[in-house]
Amino acid sequence: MTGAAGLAALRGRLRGVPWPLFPAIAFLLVMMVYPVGRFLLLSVEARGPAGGWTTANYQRLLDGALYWRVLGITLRCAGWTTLLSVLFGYPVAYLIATSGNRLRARLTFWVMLPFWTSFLVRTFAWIVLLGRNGVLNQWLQGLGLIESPLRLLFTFPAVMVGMLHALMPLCVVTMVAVMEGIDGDLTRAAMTLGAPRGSTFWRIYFPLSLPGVAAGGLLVFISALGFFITPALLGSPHEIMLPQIILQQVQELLNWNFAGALAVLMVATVLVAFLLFDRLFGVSSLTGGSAGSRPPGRLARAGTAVLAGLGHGFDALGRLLPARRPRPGRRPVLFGFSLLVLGFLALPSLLMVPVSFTRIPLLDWPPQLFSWRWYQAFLGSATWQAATVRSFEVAGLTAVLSMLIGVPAAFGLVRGLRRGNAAVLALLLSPLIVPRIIIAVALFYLYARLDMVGTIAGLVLGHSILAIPYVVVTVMAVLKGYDIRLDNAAWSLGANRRRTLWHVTLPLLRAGLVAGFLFAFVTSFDELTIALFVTGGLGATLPKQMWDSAILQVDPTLAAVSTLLLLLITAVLLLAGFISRRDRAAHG
Amino acid sequence: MTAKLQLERVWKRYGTFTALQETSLDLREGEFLTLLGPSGSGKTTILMMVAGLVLPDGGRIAIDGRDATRDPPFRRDIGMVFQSYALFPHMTVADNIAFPLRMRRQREAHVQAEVKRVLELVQLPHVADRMPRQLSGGQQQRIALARCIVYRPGIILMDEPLGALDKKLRDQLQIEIKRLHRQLGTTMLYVTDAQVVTLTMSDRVCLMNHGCIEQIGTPADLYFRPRSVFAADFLGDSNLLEGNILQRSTSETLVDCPGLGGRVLAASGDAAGAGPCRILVRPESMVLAAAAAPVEAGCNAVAAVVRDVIFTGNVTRTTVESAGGTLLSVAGLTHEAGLSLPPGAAVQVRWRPAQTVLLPAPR
Ligand SMILES: Nc1ncnc2c1ncn2[C@@H]1O[C@H](COP(=O)(O)OP(=O)(O)OP(=O)(O)O)[C@@H](O)[C@H]1O
Ligand SMILES: [Mg+2]
Repeated sequence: MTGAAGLAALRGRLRGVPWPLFPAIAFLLVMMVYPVGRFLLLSVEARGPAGGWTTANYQRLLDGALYWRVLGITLRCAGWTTLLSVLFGYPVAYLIATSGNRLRARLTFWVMLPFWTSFLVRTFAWIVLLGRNGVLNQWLQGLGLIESPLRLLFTFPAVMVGMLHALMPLCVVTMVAVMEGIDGDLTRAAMTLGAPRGSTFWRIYFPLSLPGVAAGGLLVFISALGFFITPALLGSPHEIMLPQIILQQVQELLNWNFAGALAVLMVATVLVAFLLFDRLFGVSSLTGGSAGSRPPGRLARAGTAVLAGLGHGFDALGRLLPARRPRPGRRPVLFGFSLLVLGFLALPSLLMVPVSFTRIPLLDWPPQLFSWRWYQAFLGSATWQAATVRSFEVAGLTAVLSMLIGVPAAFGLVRGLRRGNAAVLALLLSPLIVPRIIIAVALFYLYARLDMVGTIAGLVLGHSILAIPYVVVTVMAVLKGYDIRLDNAAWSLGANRRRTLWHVTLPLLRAGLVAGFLFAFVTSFDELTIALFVTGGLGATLPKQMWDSAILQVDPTLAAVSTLLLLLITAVLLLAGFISRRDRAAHG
Repeated sequence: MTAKLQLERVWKRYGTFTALQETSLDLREGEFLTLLGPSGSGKTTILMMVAGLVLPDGGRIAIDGRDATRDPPFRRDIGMVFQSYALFPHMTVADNIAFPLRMRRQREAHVQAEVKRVLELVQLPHVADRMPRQLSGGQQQRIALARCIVYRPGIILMDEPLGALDKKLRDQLQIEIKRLHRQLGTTMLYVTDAQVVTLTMSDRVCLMNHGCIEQIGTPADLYFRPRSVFAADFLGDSNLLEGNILQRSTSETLVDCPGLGGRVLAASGDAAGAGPCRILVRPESMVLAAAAAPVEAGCNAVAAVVRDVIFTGNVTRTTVESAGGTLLSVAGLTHEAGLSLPPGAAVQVRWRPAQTVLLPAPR
């Protein structure tokens, strides 16, 4: 009796184990937590064969005014990028969140457009736009506003422009996600209760959208801390940032231990930002959690008073304006402003299209039309072709691997255990938060000892670290909206678990799975930081190849590649859109 | 005397779809009017127009005789209770209720006193410092009501405010809303698709269908004197049969009703002329009698066979099949003899001519 009962109990207990989460947890522990921990630990290890512990690196950090200055610059850059992203992004996000479906889809497309152009290409586009003989200077001179060209490039504003352009879309998308959750009845209710438009916005809508502002700002801030390519290309030595110093220590001075100490400083900065955020808003608002489960504190009361004042101010302004009521749905100021911001976001991607048809070997404006030579150069070059093939290979494998690991994890999180969920989710999302440069250096250190530098496997594993969070988030989102009764119905109709999964669940989730796959693919396809470190003797991926060729000499081949990629990704998106529309039509 | 609220030929179109045809409607001061109708019939559209949250494409809306068609919501002196309650999640219950008073820039001491007063009125004085999320559904509903009455708006609009609640709570809150209405004397426009609510609370009911007013009148009007098959069917249970008017006099109309296997008498109303019509008899108007019992002169009697007896407590519902082959539903107070009718027993179904409602045949 005990045997059978024991077996049944064991089976019951085994069923309670969250198996689907294990691959993801194990993967991230081995591929990220361990290497990063190892790298950070280097900061307290003494150099040389004797080994032992030391605080020398921190001593040096504390003593060197240079590092504090660089930290200051880094914080200043990240802070300004965050502030400007929120200021310019908020109206766009508001317009998107409060528009009808069709307009919303179109606006979202334009916000996301920068993502579909290689990050590197966009940065070069800014060089073309802001250079001494760049587009902007030419215009200003043409209009007679300035006599001689302004120095725009290699300045702090240029760095701001580049970083803002790279990070604002992320901020907008995050804010939209929160704003879409704000019940339209709340603003309607406020108006029937006697609140004019100004008060309705500042006292109701704005406070409710604050978690989105904070989450978007946090993401931008943390990402900005890890930027080094933009400041390196668009800035002057005055704009040197922490990651650049880490790179210098690793690549030029080969001082891993001090690099470790700098990395600890960087991680500490991220953690402080994160804790501050948690104190003010609670981490749950990052994942679209709820506001208002506890009464407001003193700080919130003060904030409320400020917003009330703003509301009254705007209402007074509203009374001065003509009393004629604007037609609902027409918001010319908001719309005009948003178009300007969207134009700013789209400009670099679109600029590359005409430039790619230039006849001269210069990435320059205006292009000398018309020639196919850079397309021929791309198609005729074995190096470029090899890089293209390799990029597809790596991105494809990355997408498959991160789906295999991420999809079960998403199932485990949504359907499975309750305790410890937050901790697991934090681990799965941590690759978004740990600065990429630190992951890259840490992987390089690990691979060097395992002899994995310059292997496809090394690259795919590294990219999967970055792709898994996107897969998990995307699939979790569709799973939450999935009616589990459909599964129950399938079981009751005689399908076992495996067949239910295969015939019912997965087909219904296809749109989400396709999106997750695409996200993972694009993440890998456009990835440069990790590629820079671990490609080694292996031929380069496309971004790496662009980087290498740009360091030697920037020529319009880059523009040709970028235009081809833009076309390709647009085609893929249209296809994905078509599939999801068809699915929706099929499933009602 | 001018009406409190007047809609004059307002209409609304979304794209090519007409959500509301030209509609006119008046509310007296202090009246409780219910908009009733199936989903998509345009009830919310009317409410939103009155609130100023949707602009009509044409027509005029007047409040207290003053044109308010294009006034923004915050200048209309209306209050609205949303189906989702729309309590502000980032404010305490007290702040939620204080919101409309603060928008009117009233003194803080007065605001606090008023908040306290209405919280007592809805019998929830102890939840003032909680957040809306910490309240039960029924409590949230009452707070939404409190927030709406605290500033004494001239008209209160409610859009299915009880829809999300369970039946028991719904019944209780209905009584409370009615009590508040009596206490405050406010004009109320109430939207629902549940018939029972309508009958217990309203002074008048406006029945909507496909963006049109189908019929408007007291609950008794709608129940006993429906003017269309749709109205008869929507409110309460009914036996609806096809018929053909044979003969009309000032007092009585004779209708041929093949479904009943014979002719029936109806009191002459103003409904139908001659030719095809429909007749309506409410189940509780019909009485079962033994097959052979003598029939009073002038009373309708139809031979039928018992098919099913359903005992639902104080009321028993019996389904019988008439000689014409139609199933009829008969409802009566439960008595023991009625319960023991075996299926297949021959009976007689009787009702008075005055209880036959003549309706025009739907085209
Ligand atoms: N913003 C809109 N755009 C397009 N069509 C709309 C819009 N709002 C309402 N409609 C349509 O107008 C019609 C009337 O809508 P309304 O909300 O007034 O119905 P209702 O009677 O309140 O229904 P319910 O009982 O389901 O709430 C519906 O068919 C609806 O689909
Ligand atoms: Mg409605």
